[in-house]
Amino acid sequence: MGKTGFFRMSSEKQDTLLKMLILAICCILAFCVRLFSVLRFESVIHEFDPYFNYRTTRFLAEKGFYDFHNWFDEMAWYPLGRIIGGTIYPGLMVTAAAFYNVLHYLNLTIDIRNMCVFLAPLFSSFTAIVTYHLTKELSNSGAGLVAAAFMAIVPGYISRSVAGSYDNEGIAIFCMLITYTLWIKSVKTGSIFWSVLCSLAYFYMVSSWGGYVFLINLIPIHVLACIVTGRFSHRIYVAYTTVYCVGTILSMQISFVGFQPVQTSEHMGALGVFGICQIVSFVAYLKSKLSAAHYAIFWQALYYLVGAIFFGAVGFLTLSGKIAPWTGRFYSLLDPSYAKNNIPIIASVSEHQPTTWSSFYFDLQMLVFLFPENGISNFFCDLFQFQYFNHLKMFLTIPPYQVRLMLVLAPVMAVLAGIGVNHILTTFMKNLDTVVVKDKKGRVKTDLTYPAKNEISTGVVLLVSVLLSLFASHSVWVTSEAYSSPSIVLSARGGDGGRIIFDDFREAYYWLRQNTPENAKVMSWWDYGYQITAMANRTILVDNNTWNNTHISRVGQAMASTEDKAYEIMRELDVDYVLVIFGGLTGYSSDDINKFLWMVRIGGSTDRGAHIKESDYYTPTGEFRVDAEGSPVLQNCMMYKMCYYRFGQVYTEQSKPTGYDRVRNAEIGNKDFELDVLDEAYTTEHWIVRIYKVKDLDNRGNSRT
Amino acid sequence: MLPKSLVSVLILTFVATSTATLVNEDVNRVINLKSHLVKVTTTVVLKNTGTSPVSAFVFNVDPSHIKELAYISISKSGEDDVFFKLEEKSGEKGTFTVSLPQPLASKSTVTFIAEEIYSSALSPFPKEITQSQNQLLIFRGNHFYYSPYLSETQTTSVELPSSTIETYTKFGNPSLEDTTIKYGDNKEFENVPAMSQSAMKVHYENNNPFLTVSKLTRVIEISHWGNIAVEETLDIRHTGAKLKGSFSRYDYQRQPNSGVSSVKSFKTILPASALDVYYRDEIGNISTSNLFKADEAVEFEIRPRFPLFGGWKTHYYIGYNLPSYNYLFTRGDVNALKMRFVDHIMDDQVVEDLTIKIILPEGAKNIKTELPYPAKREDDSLHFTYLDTVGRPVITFTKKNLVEQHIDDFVVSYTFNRLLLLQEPLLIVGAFFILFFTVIIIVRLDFSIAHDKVQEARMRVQGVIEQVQSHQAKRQGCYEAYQAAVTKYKSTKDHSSLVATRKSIESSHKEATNTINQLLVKLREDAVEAADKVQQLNQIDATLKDKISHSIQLAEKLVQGKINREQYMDQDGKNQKVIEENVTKIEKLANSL
Repeated sequence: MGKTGFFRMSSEKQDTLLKMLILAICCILAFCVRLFSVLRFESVIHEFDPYFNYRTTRFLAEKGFYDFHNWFDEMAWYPLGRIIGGTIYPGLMVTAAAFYNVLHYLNLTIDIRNMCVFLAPLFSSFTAIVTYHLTKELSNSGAGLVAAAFMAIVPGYISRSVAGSYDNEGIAIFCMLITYTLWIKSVKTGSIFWSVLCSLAYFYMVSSWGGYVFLINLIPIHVLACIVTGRFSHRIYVAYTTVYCVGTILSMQISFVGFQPVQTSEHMGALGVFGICQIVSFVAYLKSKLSAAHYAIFWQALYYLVGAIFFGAVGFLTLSGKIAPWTGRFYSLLDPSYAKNNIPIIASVSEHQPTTWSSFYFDLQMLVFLFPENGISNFFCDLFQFQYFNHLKMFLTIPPYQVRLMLVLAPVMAVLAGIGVNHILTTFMKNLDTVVVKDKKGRVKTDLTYPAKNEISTGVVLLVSVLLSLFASHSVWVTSEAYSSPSIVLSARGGDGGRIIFDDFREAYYWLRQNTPENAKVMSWWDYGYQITAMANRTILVDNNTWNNTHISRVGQAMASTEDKAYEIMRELDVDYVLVIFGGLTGYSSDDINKFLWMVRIGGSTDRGAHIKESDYYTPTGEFRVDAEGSPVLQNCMMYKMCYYRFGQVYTEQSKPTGYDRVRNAEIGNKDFELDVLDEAYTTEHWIVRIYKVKDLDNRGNSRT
Repeated sequence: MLPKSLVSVLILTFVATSTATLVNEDVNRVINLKSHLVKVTTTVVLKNTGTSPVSAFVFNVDPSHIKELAYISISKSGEDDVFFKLEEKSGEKGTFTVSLPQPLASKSTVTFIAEEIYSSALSPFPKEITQSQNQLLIFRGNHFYYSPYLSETQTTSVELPSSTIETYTKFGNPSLEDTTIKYGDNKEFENVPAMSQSAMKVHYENNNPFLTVSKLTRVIEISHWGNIAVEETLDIRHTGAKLKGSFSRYDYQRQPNSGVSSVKSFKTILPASALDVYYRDEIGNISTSNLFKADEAVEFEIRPRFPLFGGWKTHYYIGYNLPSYNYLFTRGDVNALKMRFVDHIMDDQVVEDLTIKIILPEGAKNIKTELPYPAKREDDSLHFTYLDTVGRPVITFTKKNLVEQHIDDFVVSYTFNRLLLLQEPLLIVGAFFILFFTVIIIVRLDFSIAHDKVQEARMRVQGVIEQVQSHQAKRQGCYEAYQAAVTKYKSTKDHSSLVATRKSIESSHKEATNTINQLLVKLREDAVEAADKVQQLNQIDATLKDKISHSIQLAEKLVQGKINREQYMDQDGKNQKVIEENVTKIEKLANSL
């Protein structure tokens, strides 16, 4: 105690300095660990959705907010178009554009692309700070520091926030955690000030991610749990009513959200809890005024009345269509097999796939084992001291059925593991400090109730340190191996150990951008829609915003039909170019042939595609094969022909016949064919992207087939 | 009407005869059609047949190609670097007045070499070809040297890239040798009158790269910290025969004669000192390129993302840094930048539209420019980048239709106060200073309107308690010192040193106790609970002290032999136990404050 330590600082100042230093290091670490892909490749936007976000951000930065808000994008969903302002969560774009404008105002001329690329790492740094504050509110600042460090490198979060991964989740986790922090703060203080701040944070969350639905359900569940356990207080009442009212009104300002907060089932829980809050408070008030007997009668009457009114109203509104029923995505959240059975379009999105247990380990590693430590030692014994834990625990009751929910789980795990590690370390570090007491004969005196105190503590501390460093190296390894590939540029190891870069996507997109008419319409499977609009700057038929099932189905039908049928559909859709992804030459496995069954399923899921049956594309034994034994329907459909056009002449591997597909490991069945209605317009160097031009009608106006 | 026209004819004849004192004695013309440019080199022996010396003559560009003329120069034969001054006659495009350095005396001759370069003077025929076809071109020209003077003898050779020739005009029975067509060994080419024209047409195969830079923007940014950044944004088009039908990657990869007229890559030569070269476009880095460092230049092999077929275009930008000492010359405050107006892009380059922007450092004044050839000066503007306040002056020039021969230096001179270099570092220092200063002010000063009594009291109590704790720690130290002194005394039996040590420990203990008592009074005002605890602490401390002095007494007795060892062990053991108990009590209490 006293003036000890370095720089003759008081322990308080040392404490502050250390905290700030550790937090600063956490921030830097969080930023730097996400830069693998920039260093390995370049500062480039990754994946699919980020390209849309990037394109809209560029528009916002150039044209300003009002043009952005009123933007009708005629390049997407031809001929329908898309009202961008009303169909997106603008938080991400506004954030990036705001940073961009402020920096440009200060004459720091950073490129908008770099702003977008580095936004997610930047927000990860902020998230580390917020995690510190959240954990500090829940436990103490030591746990906060550990949690911040965990948050900086937990792979589950890194997966969505590496440099270049310019997606909503990148800032949404920050928003979510700051909302929690402020919520706990407002529950603790019961002040309107903090509650309003919390609803502002909630507004920011709503503006940036559809996952805000978690928040608007978890906060009420927390309140409800408090009511049930009898911990409901005026503080919670003030906090919740303020947050719900202000937050809901604010969230309705986002045009994409609109009236959902008062109409859809997902939001009804919050409204219900709001009502229950009023009733509980009112009842408490009456209880203080009425005698016990009167109160009992009143209580019963009220019970039945409110129940009847509530369920009656909900039932009526649902039946009359005022309240939207649960959406398909929500059902698939609760039941992973729902989507597969009912809505192929939702099931085809890889993010909506069920989580495997291995990915728990992969994304969270030892946090999986650390959080129960906290759960047992802290949670249960402190349950009655810290009601706030209820809240965090509620997260875990939602089983992460979907891969993307891992993202929501990661911060909770980080916070809980932070508290746990802090608990272990503080317990045992104290024992390390034990002064060695010697008796008169110079022998070390040992405490009989706790033998080998020092040794055990050293062992535990060492073990924890080893675990922590293992976690750190695991995280860095996962980041570098699994999450740092831009997916727009592919790389492979060559025979001589050198790196081969496959830049075919950009080659094709740039060719489209430069050498096709500006108003050309490009048909491709929806996965590539955002990339084509952003990089090739051409009109596309369907994109990753899969809102119109019939339109996507129509494209699926074109891909799955024979040439003459497909030509009719393509003429109808006014298509100029068709783009397919083909990995048979290089062994790139996520190509269109492997996705083809989804096209068939989605194509066949509407009335107009009733003639397309999934079973036709299998062999009689039920296999999906491209070789000579494959189904003849498959081998004569548009997609097959576009992918394998002239591939039958190519030698891909030694000692294999021509036309050997390296993804399916089979010699293709239909080798020698010509395309009647299409011209090969461009094929990239490694054949990954193939672009075809749809021929015009012949001189007499007849179809080419 | 008739007499009038007669008069005009007479006047014309008069003018013609008055200028006809000059005669082309011998003309030797080479038309090079090997690339996509038409390069005409004409060697003329000019004779003054008049009586008076002539100081200038007229040179005409072939009227059918006036528009396509990109470059012209006339030099004296044998002396390549002596260029004659050319002046285009106003209102008569393609007619130049050439002034001779020394007047040409009567009856004497001068030999000059005229070099003309025409861009886009060749037209593909057929206009569209498939991937497997060769590219054929038509050149339309003049069999005769187009001159305002009579030409006595003349020859014209047309050099072609290959021996595959579809047709060529057979005027005057030309000879064909391998890849060269020669006109002139015929009487048709003797004593050709002035301004004679005869249509020449050559239809031949040419698969050389037909690349045209349709727009080039060259930005040069100077930093007086020692760097010059150059960035060039280019739009490149293949202007040969357009690709008809499909592009087959299979054929392109497997058939050697497929797409012969397409362009896979080309070489750009950058200055030898170029560093940090990049090659990108709107969607990122273009990974297909190679850089070779040679002694005198950096060779940059540029491979567009896709091969360029006829009619295809691409867009990219390259940039690099140069150390400024090679290009920026300084005397006092005056600086001169000497760089190329347009640099090498590819061999036989054609730039249709050039914009060059020179960004001078912030605060540059008195800007003067000196160009190697006339170009249009656009309005000056300001450029803002990192840490700029008033903006950097930008000079912009534009020029159309440039070829390789236009690679030449310009000079921009300006005055720049070197002290301004410090402006930007000082700006950063200032910004950080303001930041930290504000933080200090906010943290150190109290801006609250109302004083929070509770908070203040709590802070005060906290401070007092910390002091109490530190003094308690001192007391703790005293007891340890006592114990040590006793142990030492027992082994050395030196009573005087024990007394001395005891005295000094006693005094420091007293001091600590006094301070704690003073603090206790203060504490009582704000926190009664804590004060009680401190009181308790003092009580235990007093007991502890008693026990310790008892322990010392026992030790003294033992040493003096008043009690035996067993008695001592027995009594001291009990005593020690009490001491330990008290010590733990105190520790707990002090920590719980």
